Amino acid sequence: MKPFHIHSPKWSRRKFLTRTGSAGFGVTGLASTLTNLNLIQNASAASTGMNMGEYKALVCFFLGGGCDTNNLLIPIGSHPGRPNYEADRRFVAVSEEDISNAGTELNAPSAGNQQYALHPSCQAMAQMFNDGELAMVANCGTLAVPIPENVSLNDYNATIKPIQLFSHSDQVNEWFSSIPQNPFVSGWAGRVASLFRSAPYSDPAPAGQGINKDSVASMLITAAGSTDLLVSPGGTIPQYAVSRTGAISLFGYGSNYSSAVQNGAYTNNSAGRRLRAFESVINYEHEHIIEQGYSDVLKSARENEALIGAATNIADSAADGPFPTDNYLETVFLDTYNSRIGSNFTNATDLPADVQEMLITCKLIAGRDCLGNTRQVFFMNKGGFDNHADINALLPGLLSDVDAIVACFNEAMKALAQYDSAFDYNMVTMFQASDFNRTWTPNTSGTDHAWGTHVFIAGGAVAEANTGGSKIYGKFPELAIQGANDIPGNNNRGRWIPQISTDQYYSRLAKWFGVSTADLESIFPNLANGFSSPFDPATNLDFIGLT
Amino acid sequence: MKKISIFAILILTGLAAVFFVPGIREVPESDSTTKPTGLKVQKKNHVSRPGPPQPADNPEISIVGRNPYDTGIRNDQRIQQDEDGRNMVMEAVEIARGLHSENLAPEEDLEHLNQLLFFYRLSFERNPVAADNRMVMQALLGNNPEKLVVFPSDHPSLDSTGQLLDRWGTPYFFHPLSGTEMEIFSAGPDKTLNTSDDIAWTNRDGNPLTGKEQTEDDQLNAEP
Repeated sequence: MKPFHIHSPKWSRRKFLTRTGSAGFGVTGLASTLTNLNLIQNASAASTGMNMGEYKALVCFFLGGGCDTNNLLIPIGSHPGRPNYEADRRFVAVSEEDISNAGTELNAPSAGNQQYALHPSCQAMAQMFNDGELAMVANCGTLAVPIPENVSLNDYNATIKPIQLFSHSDQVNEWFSSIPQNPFVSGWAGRVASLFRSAPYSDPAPAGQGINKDSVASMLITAAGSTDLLVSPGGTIPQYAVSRTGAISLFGYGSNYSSAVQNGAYTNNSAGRRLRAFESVINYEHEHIIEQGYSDVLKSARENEALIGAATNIADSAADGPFPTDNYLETVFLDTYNSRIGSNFTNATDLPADVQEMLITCKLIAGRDCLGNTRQVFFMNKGGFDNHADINALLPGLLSDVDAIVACFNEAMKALAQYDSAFDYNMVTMFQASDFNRTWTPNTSGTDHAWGTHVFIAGGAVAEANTGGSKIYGKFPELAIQGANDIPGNNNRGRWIPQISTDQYYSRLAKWFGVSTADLESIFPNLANGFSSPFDPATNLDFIGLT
Repeated sequence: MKKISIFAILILTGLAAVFFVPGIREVPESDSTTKPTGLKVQKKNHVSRPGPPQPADNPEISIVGRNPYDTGIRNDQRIQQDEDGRNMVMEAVEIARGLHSENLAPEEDLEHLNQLLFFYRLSFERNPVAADNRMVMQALLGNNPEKLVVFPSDHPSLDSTGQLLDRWGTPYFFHPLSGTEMEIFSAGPDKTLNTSDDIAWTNRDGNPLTGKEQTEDDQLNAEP
């Protein structure tokens, strides 16, 4: 096992000034950066010498509340599960006529006679699947040890299972930690970040090109508030939370610090004096470790604020960034979203909050040079899937939003690849997760908490692995009450026991991301508990390449 | 002689203290129906309620170690074994028997149910691992590692499938938010869940049954 080396971010004042465009003004922090857009070009130019060919990012798209993926990936036609689907799901079953009208049938030749479709709301995702740009993994979930199909009740009861199955917060934590039999300590992406901070993490990068060796900010960024996915061991690597519009600025200094800073200098008013005093105070050195720690947090926040501001400005400004016009990514998002939803939004700030979360994520990817990371993990969330009631009224709209967000992401990555010569479409992979699946049989108007769920992955690296057409990876459940995949006992409502663990699912992503095979078991310790190798073709998880 | 007098005075003073100082001579019996307090049940339009009860909030419930019923005291009257060897938590069973009584308002039914879950958590720290009514009731009926019974199996509100029915005959809806927090819903007099007469044990705003999130406008328009 490779030990995690814990240390604070190390970067020089010179590097900071270069990155943030604050050089020459004697103002450390965001103030001058945000008010002098010309300086952003310095930051951009300073980083052009970096080898960005190794850049990779993971974007976690979490569907909060437990999405009913039994209605996301649907058996159709001659699929042996279709009769059960109609009989058991009753009023929540999606008709084949609706699917045909929407054209969301999946072209998955490798599935043989098992025909599938996505929900009629997911037209863009279905097209991406048929183009090989999106893949599905069936029946994935939290597991401490493998639980075979057709497990007996006695064996099931004797098996170590995730803590508090079916409870929202526990299952969310366990999807993030991927160690579901233990109380939460860290998220798997946070553990990967710790591993990469054992700089230089040189496998598989060539010597001298270690992952994140020029990092000047956390590689863990959330657009949806603090998340356990990005919690590193001991909290040594902070997650940086951005707002929908980018960096979160200090309150009380005007828009973009205009009340406190002008022409790169503090203004001679109360706001300017307050900001100068504040920045002086946070630069004090303290003998007491807690005082110093507190001061370091403030400084780190101010520094990250500057860097994030610089990154989003690169994405927005045609003069500084790769795009042909200002706010190009916003145009891509508006066009794609309006096209999918049928809306007429003309301003990015009018888009739904979760769409804006994806937009700021894509902007930070476009402005990645400012942060100096060759690996980044982003998190965004769309809630509202806990549909115990009114599911037929709610789920189509929710999935329509998901479809639009995935389409926006995909189009943004293609646009970036078109205009940024240092960026390839295959550098960023979106992966989806949710609390759990929902019951196969409905209650009076909705569905309830269950377990194994279907997830999707999207991006250029997925397309590279699916040149012959995408697939349903993992093993699709039998779809039968008291069948091979249902939890045994006498209270059966179709709660599928996962046949692919989150460890197996994430391992493919982590390996692609740069984690060595030897380190995978330190990130995912449950892999050693008897799960089949995620790299064994028989496990059927090659939805993404390994390099 | 002088020393003897001093000793005699001291002894008499001590005896006087035992008999006359309040609170030393008499130890009041604990109320066997003591229940967690400070929780509210709301009708459909929920108002925030305090968080789940903690042992420290309930001084009447004595707790020794993590499991109050694992005191090591022989013949602990709070626990009585039935003929099947299950351990009946008498205080909880008593509360359960009072469920749906005429003396209780419908809203109090949910409060009592939450108390039963509280008793379960006293022993297991967490709620039953359960996704629905039957699974919750199986755990409360004693299908748990310590065979601890907090709900009597002969309760008239249990139906033939093991579900607990509300006073109008509709199964309660249990919604596990976390290991220590369980929302409980009654469909109300119209026997239909997700209607305006539902009664909910929750501290969330909006409509927890649909998962629909509150918008910023909803929050602004919400009653203070």
